[in-house]
Amino acid sequence: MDLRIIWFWMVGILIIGYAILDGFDFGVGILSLFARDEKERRLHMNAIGPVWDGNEVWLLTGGGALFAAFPVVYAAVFSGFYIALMLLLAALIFRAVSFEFRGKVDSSVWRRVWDLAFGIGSLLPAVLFGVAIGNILHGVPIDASGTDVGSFLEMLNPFSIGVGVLSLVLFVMHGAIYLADKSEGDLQTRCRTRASQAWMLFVVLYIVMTIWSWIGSPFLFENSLQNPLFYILFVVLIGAIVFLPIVLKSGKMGRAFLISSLLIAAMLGEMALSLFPRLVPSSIDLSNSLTIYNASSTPLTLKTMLIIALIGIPCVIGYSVFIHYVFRGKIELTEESY
Amino acid sequence: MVFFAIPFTKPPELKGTLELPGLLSWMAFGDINAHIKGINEFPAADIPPLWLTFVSFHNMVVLGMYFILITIVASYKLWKKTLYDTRWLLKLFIWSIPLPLAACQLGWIAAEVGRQPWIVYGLLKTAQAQSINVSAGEILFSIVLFGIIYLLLGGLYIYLLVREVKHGPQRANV
Repeated sequence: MDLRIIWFWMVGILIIGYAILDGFDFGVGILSLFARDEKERRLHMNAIGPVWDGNEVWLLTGGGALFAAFPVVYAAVFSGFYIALMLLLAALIFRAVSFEFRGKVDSSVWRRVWDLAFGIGSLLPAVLFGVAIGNILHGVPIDASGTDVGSFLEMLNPFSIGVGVLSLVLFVMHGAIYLADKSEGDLQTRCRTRASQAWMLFVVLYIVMTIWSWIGSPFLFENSLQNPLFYILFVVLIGAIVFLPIVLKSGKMGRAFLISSLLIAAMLGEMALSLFPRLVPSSIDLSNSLTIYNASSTPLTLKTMLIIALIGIPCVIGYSVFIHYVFRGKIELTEESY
Repeated sequence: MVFFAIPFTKPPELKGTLELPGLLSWMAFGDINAHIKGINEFPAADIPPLWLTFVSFHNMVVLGMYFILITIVASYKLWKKTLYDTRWLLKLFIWSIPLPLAACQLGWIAAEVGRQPWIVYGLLKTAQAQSINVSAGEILFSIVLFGIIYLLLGGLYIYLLVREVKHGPQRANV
């Protein structure tokens, strides 16, 4: 099999892993803005306290994989999305610091500031993730030399903002399900209600955005409709969307979390499949698009990186599973908690 | 390798030198006879800003030597069981807390300035490596943004550190 195809899916899997893992902790962070009291705010923070930084590793590996396998895409996207990336970094810095700083000073103003840093630092990345994907699906102004000549304001086009809102709603749903699994009583009940509400919004937005991309980016449906994998993923996606509210109602939150993870994987898998073999379609002229063929590293680099990835990725999956296992069950607040 | 010297510019020479010939060749290439190119053997276009590289590198080394020295003195006093009565040394240690950070930054400056004009030595110059589609304004925005964030976080860090130190160590339950 062509190494470039393997790497296309490798980058895809890393982005999907990132969306599933950091997705729920962004969701919990956003929900913390609506927490009722000090105890609830601490419950939100401690629900993801042990795992959020491990989850963010997937963003680094995704970016690293893109750099190694498709340096031309890395250069075009990271320079083209410069301002968006800087805002993302700023948000992630404040979010990361809020965990450590929040409990250090016994003052309500101090805690309020870091609560906002935690909430907004989760909200902004959740939206920007969708905006970035929206731009890729919409097409980026790539000129004949492979350079993104667009500006930050062009990134904020209606379609991309729509995808940004879609990812916000999706992560809130995913986070609410995770928090419901980790909490009890009143908080759990409210999380389940929020997850159901977010599910409804998600279904509406997903249908709207799919129709919008059918009209706006017809190239996404050119090749993918001939691919049997497209229909398999479609069945999985529809199955996950239909079963989610049923499982939510039954109260099996662990199972609901697995289904919403599957939903994210199938949805992003579907997007990857409709892009293939393009990585960044050009909105100026489709023939300027960056593809796995004109943007990849040399075969030797791809081969070397594949060996490293095949050793590294199981390690990351291994410790991710391990840490979730260690901190399984409901959250308990102790002296040592955040 | 020259350990100590006083540099003169007219004529260019070193006076009062303390040196061990061949040591630097051995450190760089594992061979005491290897040729170390002098700065005057490089084309002018390939030479980094010298003053900053020289000053930051040498001050880093001075600080490193200082750390070794005070550690040796303190180890001796510890062995003699007089360390905790030597107030001047303990005070010196407290005032030396920021110095490793300074040494770290100086080393970073020496490495970053000293490798100019290359970003990847021998392959890619810094001037060729810049993003053509990121404007100067956007770069300025990010520098200001991160400058403010780091100043803020640095300030808060010092505030919390001082608070913790003033609070003192927690008394163990007996």
